Amino acid sequence: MIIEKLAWRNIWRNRRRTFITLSSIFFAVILSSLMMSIKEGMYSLMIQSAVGSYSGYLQINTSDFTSDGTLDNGFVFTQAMSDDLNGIKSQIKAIPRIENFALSAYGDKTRGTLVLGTDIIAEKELTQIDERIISGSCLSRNDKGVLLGKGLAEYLNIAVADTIVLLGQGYHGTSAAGKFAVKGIVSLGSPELSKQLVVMDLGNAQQLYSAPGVITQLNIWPSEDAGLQTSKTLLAGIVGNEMDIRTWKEVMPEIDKMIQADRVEGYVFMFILYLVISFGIFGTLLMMLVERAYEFGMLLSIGMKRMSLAFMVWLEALFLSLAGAMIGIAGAIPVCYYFNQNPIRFGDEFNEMFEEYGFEPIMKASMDLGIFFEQALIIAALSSILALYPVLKIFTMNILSSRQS
Amino acid sequence: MKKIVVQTIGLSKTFKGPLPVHAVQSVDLTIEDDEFTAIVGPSGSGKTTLLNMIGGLDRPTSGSVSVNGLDLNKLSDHELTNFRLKHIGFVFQSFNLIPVLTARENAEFILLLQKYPRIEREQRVLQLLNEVGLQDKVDSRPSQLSGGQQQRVAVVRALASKPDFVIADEPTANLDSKSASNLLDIMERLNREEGITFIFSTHDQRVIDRARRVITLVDGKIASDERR
Repeated sequence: MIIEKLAWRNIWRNRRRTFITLSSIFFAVILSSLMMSIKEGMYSLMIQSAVGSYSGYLQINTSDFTSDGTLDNGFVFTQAMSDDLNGIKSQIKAIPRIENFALSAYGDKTRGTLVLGTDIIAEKELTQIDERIISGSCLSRNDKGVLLGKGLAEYLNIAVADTIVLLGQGYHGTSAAGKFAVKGIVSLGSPELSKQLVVMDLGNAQQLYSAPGVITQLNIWPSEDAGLQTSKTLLAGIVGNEMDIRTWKEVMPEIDKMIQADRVEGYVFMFILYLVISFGIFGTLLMMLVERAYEFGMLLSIGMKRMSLAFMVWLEALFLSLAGAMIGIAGAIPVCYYFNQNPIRFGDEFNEMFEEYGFEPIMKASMDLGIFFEQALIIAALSSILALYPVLKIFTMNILSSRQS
Repeated sequence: MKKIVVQTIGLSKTFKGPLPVHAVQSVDLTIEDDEFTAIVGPSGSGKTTLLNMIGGLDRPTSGSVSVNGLDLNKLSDHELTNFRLKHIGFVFQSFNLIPVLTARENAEFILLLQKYPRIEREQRVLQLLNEVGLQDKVDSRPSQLSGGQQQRVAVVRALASKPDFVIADEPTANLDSKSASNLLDIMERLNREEGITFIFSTHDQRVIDRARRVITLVDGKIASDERR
């Protein structure tokens, strides 16, 4: 305990120097936390926009569909499967869907579209599609109408109550053609989806594609308590091992890769920031080593072990850095909280760029505590590495020379 | 017959360099229990080097040092550290204390390193601080103590774990007459009443006058060894 007490008191021997070092760590932690918090906040929005409000966090499909995502590789959604999923609905919620392509036409305009046949009741519960209707009304079960993405409706210049024609290929080579009344226009988080999505009742889509009982996928929303891994295990028991159960990262690897690449950019910036403050910490440690050479010699003379002395110096570096990190975190939390509650909205010039990536043009800080603990860990690791120099010096220190300094 | 605490046989130390310095040359010396010995001599005569070898802080070029029959040459660095901790008390010329600890904590330091139980530690240290007249300064930091008071705390620290002997390297060099006299009174009393062996290096006449044995070094050799 004496070593810990000594280390703590030693860092306050030169208060001015300690405050300067603490300040540098404080500002670095605030900057770094804010940057990572805003980045993580944007990733959350992106995931929420692309995953939470459309694809779900897990997807079940046949293994053939994984390699070739066509309707022919769909599977029959049995009553037994539906009952089993109902049995675990407190942990996992699912939407059975058909996703297939069709050519849409209205007047003299056509566009390739993504036709989504879905259980509209589950869709309302999980993706709140009914809250995104900007014109007309939402579908009901067994509805024969369709919902169109806002972008698609604008392109085709089609309005509610008009009729859209869909033409495509159905199950195992059949033709799929139909006329559908537009019941509503939907505003979607992702502009890409908005430009091509046609939503219809699952039964309606199965009829269009001549695929009774067939779905291409089950999209899954686990509850907060059931993690992805637990949910996967539960679902494997229901759908069997022949089916693929993929996370959103596997279904949409491009989003995950984009996030990873952006995160690396953040880490590079963070590395530069911490590299700068590491010089400050190292300078403090060097000064401390030089100033206290006599004292170290005296301590070794009276019988203090080198290991204990080195541990004390390492603790001093750690205490100093962690104190700075803690103050920095205490300062960063309110700043991040402010930007969490008051996201920065980009001007019009950025809207288009953000929409291309499919998420809202806002910057919202994340309040994930892991971001702040990460700073403390980085600082602790950094100071431990920097403290190696004085520690090595202590192990090679000549007692008599030190006492003559 | 008194117990031999320190014995050196043919002890020599040469510092290498373009011009080798023979700091201590073939010193044969025996120091017995309860001695109050001053090693004196002009600057560069080898006093501190001799004390460093006796205290296990430096190794001889040739010859041997035994403390209570244990040959220090045979100990590893780690064993020497342990040996110093448990068997030798040190009082240096100045800056003896750890600035961030109070007088009591400084005095307890060796006992803490030796993992003495708290109650035993506190009793011993408070008793010694009381004996050296620092009962009112136990919670003062070194910066709040005079030079003489700091040296007294250093003496308490050196004695706290009841070492075989105490090495004091010019303990009065930075003290005024009154403080030096005070410190010497204390050390003399501890020697007389508790039988603690003291070995000083000094050129302070006040210390020399109080010593019961004076060993004079000249050019690293014992020039005289006077018992009083």
